[in-house]
Amino acid sequence: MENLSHNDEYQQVASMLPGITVFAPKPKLEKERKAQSYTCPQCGGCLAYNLVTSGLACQHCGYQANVRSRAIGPVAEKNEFTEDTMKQADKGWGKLRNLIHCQQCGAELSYPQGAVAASCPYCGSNSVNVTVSESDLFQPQALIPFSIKPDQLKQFTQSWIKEGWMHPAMLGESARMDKFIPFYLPYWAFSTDISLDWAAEVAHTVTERYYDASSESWKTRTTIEWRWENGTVQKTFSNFLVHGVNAKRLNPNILEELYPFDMSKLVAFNTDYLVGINANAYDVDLNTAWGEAKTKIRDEARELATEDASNTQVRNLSIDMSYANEHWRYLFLPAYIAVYQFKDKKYQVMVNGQTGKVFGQKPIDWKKVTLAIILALLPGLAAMFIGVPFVLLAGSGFAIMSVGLILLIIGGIISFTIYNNATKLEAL
Amino acid sequence: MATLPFTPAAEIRKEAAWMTGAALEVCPACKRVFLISEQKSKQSCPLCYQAELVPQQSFIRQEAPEIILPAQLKVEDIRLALTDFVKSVPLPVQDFSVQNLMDRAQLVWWPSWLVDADLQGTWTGTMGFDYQVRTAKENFDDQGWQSKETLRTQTRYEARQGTLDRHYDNIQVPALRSHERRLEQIGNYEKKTTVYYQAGMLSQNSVQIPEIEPQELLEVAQTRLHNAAEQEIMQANEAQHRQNIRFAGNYLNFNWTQYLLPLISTSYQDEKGSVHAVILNGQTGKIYGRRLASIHRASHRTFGLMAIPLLAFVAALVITLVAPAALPVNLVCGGVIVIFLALLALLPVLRAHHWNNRENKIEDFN
Repeated sequence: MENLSHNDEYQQVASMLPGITVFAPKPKLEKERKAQSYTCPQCGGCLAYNLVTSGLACQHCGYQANVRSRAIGPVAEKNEFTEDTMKQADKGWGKLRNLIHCQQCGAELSYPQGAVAASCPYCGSNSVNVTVSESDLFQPQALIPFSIKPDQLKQFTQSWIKEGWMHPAMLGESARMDKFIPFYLPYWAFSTDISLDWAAEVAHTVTERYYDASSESWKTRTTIEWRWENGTVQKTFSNFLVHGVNAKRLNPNILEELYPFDMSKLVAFNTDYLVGINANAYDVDLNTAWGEAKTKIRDEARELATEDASNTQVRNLSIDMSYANEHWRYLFLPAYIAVYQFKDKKYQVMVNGQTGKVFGQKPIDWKKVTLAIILALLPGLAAMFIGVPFVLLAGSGFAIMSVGLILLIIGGIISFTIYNNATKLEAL
Repeated sequence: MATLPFTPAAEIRKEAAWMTGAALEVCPACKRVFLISEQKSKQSCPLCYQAELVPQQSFIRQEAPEIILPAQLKVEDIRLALTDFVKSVPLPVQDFSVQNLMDRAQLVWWPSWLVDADLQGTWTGTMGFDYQVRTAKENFDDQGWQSKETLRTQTRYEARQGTLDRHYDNIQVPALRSHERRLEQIGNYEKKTTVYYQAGMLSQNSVQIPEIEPQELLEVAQTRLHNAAEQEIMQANEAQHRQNIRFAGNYLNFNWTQYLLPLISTSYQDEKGSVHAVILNGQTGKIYGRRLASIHRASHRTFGLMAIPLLAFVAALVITLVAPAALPVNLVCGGVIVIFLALLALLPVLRAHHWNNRENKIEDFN
């Protein structure tokens, strides 16, 4: 009995029967929930996470310390969709942080206590104010530390900014991206098994002989015969990522272009990694994010059902789908965010803090795009113009007209593609 | 001072002080020992009916029964149960009638041990807690996706440990080697209606006495106490499942008493003169026994029915003699009819044989 009461790993819990005592393991997160002090033991200055050394460093005396790191990889703790778990899930940041509200774009940014935010990384605005920290937020369970050092960013972004011909020629020289803000972005990672029973009419091509009365001979023809088929497909989705940032603040297309992240590098959430680094609380709540994930899973389910059929041409498809082992995790994934200015307009760029993949907004040079469209259409138009006099005067030149028409169609397709891409890039 | 978990041998006597006027008798055939009232002394064994009881010289435990389960069947209930039991038998043996079975029915009490003990020590184990998770069933058709949210019950297992200091009352431990088999035959008893034993409650009835003494049952008793403790530990944890519960401690203050269960016993004699017992659960009326059909009666019926194809054969013969022109037709039709009727006539004896073959696979209660 004495052994039990002195066991540090267990604590006494309520028993429903007299004469029986019950001891349960102590909650694991108890230690991590305590506020941490990040004061330099040498000079009393502030410690901050150093992206170059991947450790804690004093900004005044240079003292360095290792972070408390616990690699967990893909087996990081998962949560289920229980009401109890949702209510009991750990809340708060583990260290007192301020939420800073940007009055221009509405972003809520979590900054270390006492930090001065010079500008909003999303919109570049200088007008920020501190609001009361929300208390009903989940605590992140794991994060991927930054692997890309700040001095590597220039190399990555310079090659990215020069990519593509639709952008202004001066962009590479004018766009100044010297201020990258390291940021932990909130992501929901979902895992689930799905099992779907499908039924559909599947197209089968059938070759048949028939008697053609007009030619008085037997011929063959190919027809489509629709046959009912059904099947069962099972699939496991693991770490299906949905970002937790409001689409009004960060373009979801940019966020999704930062994928993939290597989940084997996940470490248990630890405030050491956040000291001096910005972290954004999630705007998209769990249910909304799970809804988005399920929309994508449904699309994939339809594809899976179609692929399972003997032919991908199907009609009257019906699917019964059930989920099992649904889990979610709230993660922090690393990114650098920069805002650069070009001709009085601000553009957002993000760099995957783990892989160095760059994606962001770039201005479109519509003169270049128009010229490219004209050049694409020109050969066809020219051939048509040359062909017309020949047809009118000599009664020949149909071949040139035909070539012109084909070139015009090709040019039209190319023009449409160029225009479409330009519009999409500008919409970013 | 440690308490002996059972009555010392010195205190076990020849007479049962708690059932006055009863003698200890044994069945030479099945070896069962009974406390029999003087009126029923030296009668057939009330359970196997294979031999007459003879006085027993062995000892008997002195503990009076603590509780008994009163027989709840009324005469009409017994008659109804026996009627159902008898009616489906094709051509039952003559002695196997509801009235005969009713006339021979008698109440017999059979024993089980009840153990009281204290458990003190520590326990460790894994507890399973049910919880519900939100999930969804989704359907896709021409109308698009339809989603229906549902709840799924899952179990979370967690390690637990603690201490135990509890008293357990009336934990049932078999007193007969055939305890489990008997329950399989006549079903379980519902313990809710038990009453405390009072002197005179069992007069005129036969009481079977335990075959297994408590000292042989210590391990079984500890297992059952452990099971009861496991159940309570689960309850204390508010858990719905349990795994690998281990108890380290002492089983103290054993107290053994008897628990008597009611059984209705009756019998019948088959055509070869063998006696078969039929038993009923005295609480629920569930019945067990071998039901034999009469091969003699079936044979007589078959012989009787054989007269019909014989008459048909004679009729066909007469028609053939009267109208010889139709000889081939008469021969074929008459032959088919005669063979068909002859086969039909065999049915009673075939059915009786088939029935008895099936019944003989049922273990006789003896």
